[in-house]
Amino acid sequence: MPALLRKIEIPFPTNRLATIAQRVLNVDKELKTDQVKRSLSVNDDKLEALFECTTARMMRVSVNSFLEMLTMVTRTMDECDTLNA
Amino acid sequence: MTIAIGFEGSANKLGVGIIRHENGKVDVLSNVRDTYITPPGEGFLPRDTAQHHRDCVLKVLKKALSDANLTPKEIDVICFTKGPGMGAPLTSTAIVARTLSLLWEKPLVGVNHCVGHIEMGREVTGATNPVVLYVSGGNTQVIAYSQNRYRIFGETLDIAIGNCLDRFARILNLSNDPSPGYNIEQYAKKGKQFIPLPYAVKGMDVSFSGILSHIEQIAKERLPTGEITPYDLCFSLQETLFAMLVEITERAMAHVESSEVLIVGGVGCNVRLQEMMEQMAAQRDATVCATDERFCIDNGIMIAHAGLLAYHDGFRTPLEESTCTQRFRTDEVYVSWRD
Repeated sequence: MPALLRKIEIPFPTNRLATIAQRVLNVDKELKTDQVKRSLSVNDDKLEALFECTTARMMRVSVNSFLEMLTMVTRTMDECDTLNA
Repeated sequence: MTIAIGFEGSANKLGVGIIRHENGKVDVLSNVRDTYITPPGEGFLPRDTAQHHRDCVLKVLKKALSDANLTPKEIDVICFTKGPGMGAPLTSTAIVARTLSLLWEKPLVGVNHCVGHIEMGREVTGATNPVVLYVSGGNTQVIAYSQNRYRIFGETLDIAIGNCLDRFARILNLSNDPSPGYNIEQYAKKGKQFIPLPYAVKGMDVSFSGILSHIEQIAKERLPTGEITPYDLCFSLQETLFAMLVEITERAMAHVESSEVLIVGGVGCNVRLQEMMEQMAAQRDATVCATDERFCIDNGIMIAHAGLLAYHDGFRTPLEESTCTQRFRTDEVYVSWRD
């Protein structure tokens, strides 16, 4: 039974970019599904990530890992999105 | 005409390459790579390697586009290494490919790293149907093509030959720049005595971890006394390991009745290995094909090329299936583009 809950909201410039981030990051599943549950959703131009973890350590590990991949996505968007150029 | 961009990041090399296929002609438009080099005595760990890839991928991508003189609009397909390899580095690279696929609205093709090496080797050398020796830090396989698959005839039972060499380089505290294997090769040239080591061929397969433990022990006991030098050890290790590879390659050639050997993978850059293979091949009236470091060492262009071959046959990787996998057997890929 997950003991800890954390919701993270990441604002994006547009709904399009928030949706792209959600689709990209949703591809990789969490490895320890018995200890971590991560769900991503888009609310207007915000990406919402909900983490349910059994321990503080798993929360830290999964959130950190998520943020590393998230920043890879946002940096890619910043430098490579030519459609809005 | 189709243009593909390929992203490779399964080990410590981050490569982006752009290739064009036009009327059967293949042109390399750009091939950029950034290698994560650790201090002497240290190997590369997944977490730091993934960080390295994330830090440099966008810069490498920009250079690949500018070397090719292309804009994203002109790219038709985005290819990436699905596996095999190290988890976090693979995923970090795939995430960029996925994001670009949605930003630029281009299809995605996931590629098997080993098949990438094979197809690039065939393209660059013109080898038609060779026995392939695929040797790198992460893989050691003898492969022959049959009925739409690259079949594994023989392989390592434990670690890859490159891993054996890299770990021995750490024992000697050799520099990892440009690669530990390169520095072992240079040291080997100065070897004066051959130190007998275990020779571990098991049928069509090879085993390296026992040889590694053995040579580590010899280094610890006999280097301090000065009776042998690090050069002698590097020389002896190469001669032993490469002879094993030549044996299993020759056996595959005999069974398959092939007169061509194609050596791919980072260890394929080693000139001594190529020489020994050529000696064996000459005895059988066969030829050895090898590529240079642009294509031997992990690179993005081989991913773009192999990806494009599959793409032409209608192969696509839906976004939801663009996960990476650390284990991905070479024969899992349906090679539709060959008869």
